[in-house]
Amino acid sequence: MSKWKRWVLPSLCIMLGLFFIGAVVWGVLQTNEKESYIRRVQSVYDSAFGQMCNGVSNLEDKLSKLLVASGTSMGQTNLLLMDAWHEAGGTEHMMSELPVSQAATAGLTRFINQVGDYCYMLARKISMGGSMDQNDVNQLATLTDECKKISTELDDIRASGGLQWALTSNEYYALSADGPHAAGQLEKTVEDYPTLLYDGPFSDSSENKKPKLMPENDVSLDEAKTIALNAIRTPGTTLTKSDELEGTVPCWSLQGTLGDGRRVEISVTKKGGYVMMMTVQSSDTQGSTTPSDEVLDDLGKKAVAYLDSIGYKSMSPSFSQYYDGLVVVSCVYTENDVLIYPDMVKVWFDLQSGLPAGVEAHGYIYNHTSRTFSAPKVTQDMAIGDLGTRMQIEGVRLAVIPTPGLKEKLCYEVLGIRDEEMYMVYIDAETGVEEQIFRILNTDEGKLAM
Amino acid sequence: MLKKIVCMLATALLLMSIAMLPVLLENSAEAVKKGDRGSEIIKIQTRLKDWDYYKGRVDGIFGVLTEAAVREFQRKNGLYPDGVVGSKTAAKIGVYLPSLTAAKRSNPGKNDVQLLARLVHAESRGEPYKGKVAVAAVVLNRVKSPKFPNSIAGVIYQPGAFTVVADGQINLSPDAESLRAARDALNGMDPSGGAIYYYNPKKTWNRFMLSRPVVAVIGNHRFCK
Repeated sequence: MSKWKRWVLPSLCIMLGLFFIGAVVWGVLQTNEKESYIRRVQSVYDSAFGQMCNGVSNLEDKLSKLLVASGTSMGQTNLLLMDAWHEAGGTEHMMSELPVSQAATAGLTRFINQVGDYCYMLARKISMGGSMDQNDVNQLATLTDECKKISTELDDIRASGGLQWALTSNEYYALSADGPHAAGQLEKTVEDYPTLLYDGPFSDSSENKKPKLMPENDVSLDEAKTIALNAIRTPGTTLTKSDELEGTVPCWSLQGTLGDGRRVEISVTKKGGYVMMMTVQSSDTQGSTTPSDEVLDDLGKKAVAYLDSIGYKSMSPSFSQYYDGLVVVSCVYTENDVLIYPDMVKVWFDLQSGLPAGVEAHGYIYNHTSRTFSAPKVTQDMAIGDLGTRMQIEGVRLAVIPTPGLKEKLCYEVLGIRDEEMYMVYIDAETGVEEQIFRILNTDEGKLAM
Repeated sequence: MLKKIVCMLATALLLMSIAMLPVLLENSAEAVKKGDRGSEIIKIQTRLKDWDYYKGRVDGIFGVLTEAAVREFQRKNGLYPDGVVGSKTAAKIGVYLPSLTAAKRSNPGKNDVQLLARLVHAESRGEPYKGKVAVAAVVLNRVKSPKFPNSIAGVIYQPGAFTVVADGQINLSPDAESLRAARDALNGMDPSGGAIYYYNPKKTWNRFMLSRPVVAVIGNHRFCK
């Protein structure tokens, strides 16, 4: 007993005391570390916010200068437009770093992206020989005013000590206009910003694109099943309706299994009965073999015959990619030897079985329509011009290519080689203007156009 | 960097749909040397004869005379005189050797495929295949939308956009199905009907999400605009 009192109890107390001191020290260190992380994260956010504010103010600067520039390619206009595009890109980039809810900032992000896009499209128009019209000048004036307003409000936020950033994902979701992390100007809706009328990938018209292929005939669920079975090609396939997709292109969605147990999913349009999308589980996901040129050539021919049998007529094979035991052949609608690139359908093949394993016809369904193009005003020789001095020309043909704002252009497609790299240069058949340049990369997964 | 992305978007349709012609590449050796035959040799001999390097007949056979002519040409043009027509010599002579342009590089978009597949894997394990493609398609629809960042990484890592980024599941390595779903979506498949949001109605109380118009329901996910 005396031994207990004399030795064990005091040593227990000392141990507990040491633990306690250790825990306190550890806790203090952890808190310090946490605070230093928070400060670091917050300084990243503050920096992004600061750069974003500068971006908006620089954007306003470029836009206002544009109002006094000549509006032609001869002077400052193009440089200022490219600067404005650059500032808009940087601003958007910094905004996307901020921990504020996307729903709240969608309006401002969209405005900045559209301003940049609009400036880029204007620069493009001017560099191809066009000029700014009165409508453009008016729009630029409106945009300048809006940017000035945004810039002032952002400066006020900065002057009053900046914003308090949400640090956890729960905090982002809890954001609301009157909440503790309210972001003022950052939180206006799309409708609060001026509407921009122009043609570009971020313009309203591109956001709400509608299919051009509009067949009249309604297709019943049973008919859709017959169309689907014809497209799947594998005996023993069973299909059931999975859901109906409404929206711009209403579809019957079917799913099921093939005879060998692999799953298949397929959508058939309710009007016209086109196979919009099909995917079959691949039989060999490990397949990493690179198909030979002969195999690819052969699959190109097979793809055309297959598409013909499911209602996509007059297609020709373009390029192909391969991955995971599959080959994807992109086929392009062809009329009078003119390639119509917007009307594209992709066909997947299972390398092992050689059977079709997928279809994607979005491009065709959204773009296919009867077209009338006037005969090219520019001759082939005029189109090529002095291109031969910059690359070795391997072939020329006519093609219709998509241009910004959901438009199309008839162009000469000139294929050439320079320094062992392949290029495709598109020359407007109407004006002779260089419309587009692609570089073809020969990759380990097929050919890619950049 | 961002400029480039916007530039690519500026021609988004082009980039998605156009790619290239069926460029017919002949299978042949890596460089042309003594003992080789074929139409390429005829081109080389013709050029070398025009410039007085080659004294023999244009017969399409890479023989001793051709080799000597190539050596002479290389010496005059500051190339290493090995008598073999490789890429540099071919370029100087001005002939195009298909085999030499066939050097394969790694697909520059591979990292984006991986990142997208990781998101699909983390967000939609247990969902039907079509649901996985739809999740990948939502990311790509966001890249195309002016309301969101303009790159795949920008969209996926946007603060608060995906919970799997916050909890670290994004770092799990993707399975084969997620990889194919990412690639199929990059090839244009979009079962989501153009959606830019999706949620699991059993797990979401977010009023903003629940107020969006639903365009497709696949598995446990509602896809909306």
